Amino acid sequence: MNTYIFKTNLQCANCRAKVQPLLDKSDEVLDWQLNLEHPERLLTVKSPSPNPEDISKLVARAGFQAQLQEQAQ
Amino acid sequence: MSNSNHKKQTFPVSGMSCAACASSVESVLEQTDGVYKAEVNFADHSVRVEYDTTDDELRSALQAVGYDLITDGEDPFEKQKEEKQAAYLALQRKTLGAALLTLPVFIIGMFFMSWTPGRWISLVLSAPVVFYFGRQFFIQAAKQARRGLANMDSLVALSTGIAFIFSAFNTIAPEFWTSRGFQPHVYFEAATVIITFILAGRLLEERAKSQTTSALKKLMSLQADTLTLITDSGDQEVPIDQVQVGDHIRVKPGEKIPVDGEVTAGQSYIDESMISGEPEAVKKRSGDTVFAGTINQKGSFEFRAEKVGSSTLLSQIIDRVKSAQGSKAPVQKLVDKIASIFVPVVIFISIITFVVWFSIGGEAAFSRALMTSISVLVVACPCALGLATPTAIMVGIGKGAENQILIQDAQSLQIARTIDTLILDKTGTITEGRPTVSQIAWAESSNRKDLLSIIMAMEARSEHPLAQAILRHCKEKGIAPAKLSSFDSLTGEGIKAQTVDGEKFWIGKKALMEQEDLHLPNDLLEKAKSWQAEAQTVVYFGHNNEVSAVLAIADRIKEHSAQAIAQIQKKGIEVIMLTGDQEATAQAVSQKVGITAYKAGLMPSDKAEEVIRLQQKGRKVAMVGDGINDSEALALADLSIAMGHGSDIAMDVADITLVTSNLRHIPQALKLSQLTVRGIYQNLFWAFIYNLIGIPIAAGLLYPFTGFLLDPMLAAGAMALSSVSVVLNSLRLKNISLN
Repeated sequence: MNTYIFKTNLQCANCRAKVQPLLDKSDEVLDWQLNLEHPERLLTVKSPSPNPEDISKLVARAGFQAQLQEQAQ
Repeated sequence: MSNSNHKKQTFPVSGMSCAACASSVESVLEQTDGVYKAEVNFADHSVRVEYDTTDDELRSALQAVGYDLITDGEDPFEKQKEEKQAAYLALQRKTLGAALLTLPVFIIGMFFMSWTPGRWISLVLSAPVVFYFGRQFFIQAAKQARRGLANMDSLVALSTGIAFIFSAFNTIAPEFWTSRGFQPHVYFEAATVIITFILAGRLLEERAKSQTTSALKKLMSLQADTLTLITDSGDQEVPIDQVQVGDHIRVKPGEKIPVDGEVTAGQSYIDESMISGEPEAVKKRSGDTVFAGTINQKGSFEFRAEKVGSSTLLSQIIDRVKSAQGSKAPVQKLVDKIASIFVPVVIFISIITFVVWFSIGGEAAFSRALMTSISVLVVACPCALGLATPTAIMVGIGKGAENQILIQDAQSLQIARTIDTLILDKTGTITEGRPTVSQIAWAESSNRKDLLSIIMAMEARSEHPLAQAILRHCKEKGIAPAKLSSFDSLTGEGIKAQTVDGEKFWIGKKALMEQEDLHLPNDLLEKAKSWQAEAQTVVYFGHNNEVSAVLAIADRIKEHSAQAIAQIQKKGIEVIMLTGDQEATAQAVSQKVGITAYKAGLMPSDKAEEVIRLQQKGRKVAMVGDGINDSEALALADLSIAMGHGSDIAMDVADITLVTSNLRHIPQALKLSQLTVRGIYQNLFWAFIYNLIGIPIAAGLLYPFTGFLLDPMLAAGAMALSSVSVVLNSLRLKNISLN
């Protein structure tokens, strides 16, 4: 299980609502959390996938950007 | 890579709430096959797409994420208008259909009561009236009931529904009653007439409601379509949406300014009445700001675009008017309020009736209890109920029209009497709206007529905005212009001229007189000072070596203003003056008309903010205005009044328009509102009273004495009396004076 932390450009609750369905439905995402209070708008994802790009691509499908900041096992 | 074969279109987008959403929309579209470029305009809620695929593809791509694209290119206002029209036509159809079927039922019910087949015919004809044409009442009643509430629809549905079912039962199985010694009455005509009348009342109400807003369309038409772009290769005419910040634009005499910007070269006078409401054209020079939608007068200049598209002041005014109009909630109908109490009460009475009769017992106790309790419900709904409000309002609107008060929004008749604050715009409302010569002081030794004709000739050639005022004054006096041998315009100072006999003349500021070394008589100087203290503009007229006259020019206060304001204040309403003009003039004017609270130097959005500020304090605010710069405030006010001479837009936005622009119509409008609401209350009384009398009779109050229970004649009687009373009362309103 990997935990990825991404920097994102999501700004508001409405933005969250756009990525939510994609993240909820995805098999690559077991659990996720979006901290909009944080200046970097951090998205923390628990994923079985060894590839963080899968998550970034998912977020990109909603039109937003997610840049990997940290990775933990 | 941009290719002119690609489709380029701007679509409205919904679902964007922040800048990140905007870039997400762009990103989603650009990821879509066939899309080359997407550019979002967040303020406009739109996206400009360069693409090669179908509109629907774009739409699905965005919908997948949670946005939406409007591909029909339909104007949301057009759509709203169409929907309203469709609803009106549907209502018309229903009313007509109900009326046609009700007629035979009524005839049978009144004249062929004992004819048994008549009942069956009525049954068949009434069913569609009640359940098809009248279905909206049942649908609404069900919605209300689910929330534990009741309104007028509930009353109609309850009464007519029960009446129909009861009558149907009595037609199919009259033995149930006859075997127990009761008359199986039918009330088909009661049910159908009520449905028809209430539908008719709704139709009348819709007719009296306000027109959809063409005000916004007119505001949008103030925007120019094309403009002259100054480029290295010369002047080019380009469409307005291609302008960008930093572009240099040329404006010729008479043109509309296309976008907001800063003057870079040249100078001119610009009519900014759309922003400031001030009729006097403002001089613009290098470094001054110009606004989109304002009108250039006789000069020509260049400016650099600073704000384009939806950032211009004009666009923002449009946006604000749009949202202001959308935010006003309709007045809750009095009838609904009454019904919400009446329905539970009637049901209660019905239950009590049943219980009482059942417990009294005796022969056929159950049937008696049933019949009386049902009859109570049948007689409960007054058929004139739907007519009470619309008839009073129609008469109110008609009466207003007779007195040059155009009522655009019927609700305003009900709101007007709750007003406690009235905001008046200064220019064009309290004052005439254009500069006029108010006074002239002459030096002792003057041949006035001759001098005036010189003045007239000179002003005819002047570009100065005040020239018109002076010209008008001369024309009114029947003066003919003299012949001038030479004429010169000294920009910023004034004008000078010479006549054939070598006489020299000057018109202009005091500085010009001093420059030419003209002697200024003391009395004229004093006069000029006192006028300036009153915030009037002073123009000096010099002849050879002395100042022969001084003219005071001001925007005159209308004759009836002070009186009308006093009348309004007497009603306990606070009158406030808001203006875009300067403090000095504002103070002078408010003193003259008896207003203590005023604010000057306001931008259009400031006026609107004042309205909101007062409303938040719990005040009911009425606003009177005439210009485009008032339209946002007008849209927000609880009651908006426009002056007839003013801009079309103000008139469209406002609830009431005073055709003659005479302020004394305001107290009249307020009285009209009082009378109308009183009329509505009276109508409701007359509508209900007969049915209220009918309820105890239906409940069997007279039974122990006369064996008398509810019968169709009684029900019909109540219907007729209530309808006639309501109509007569409304007509009575016509004859009451508004003064």
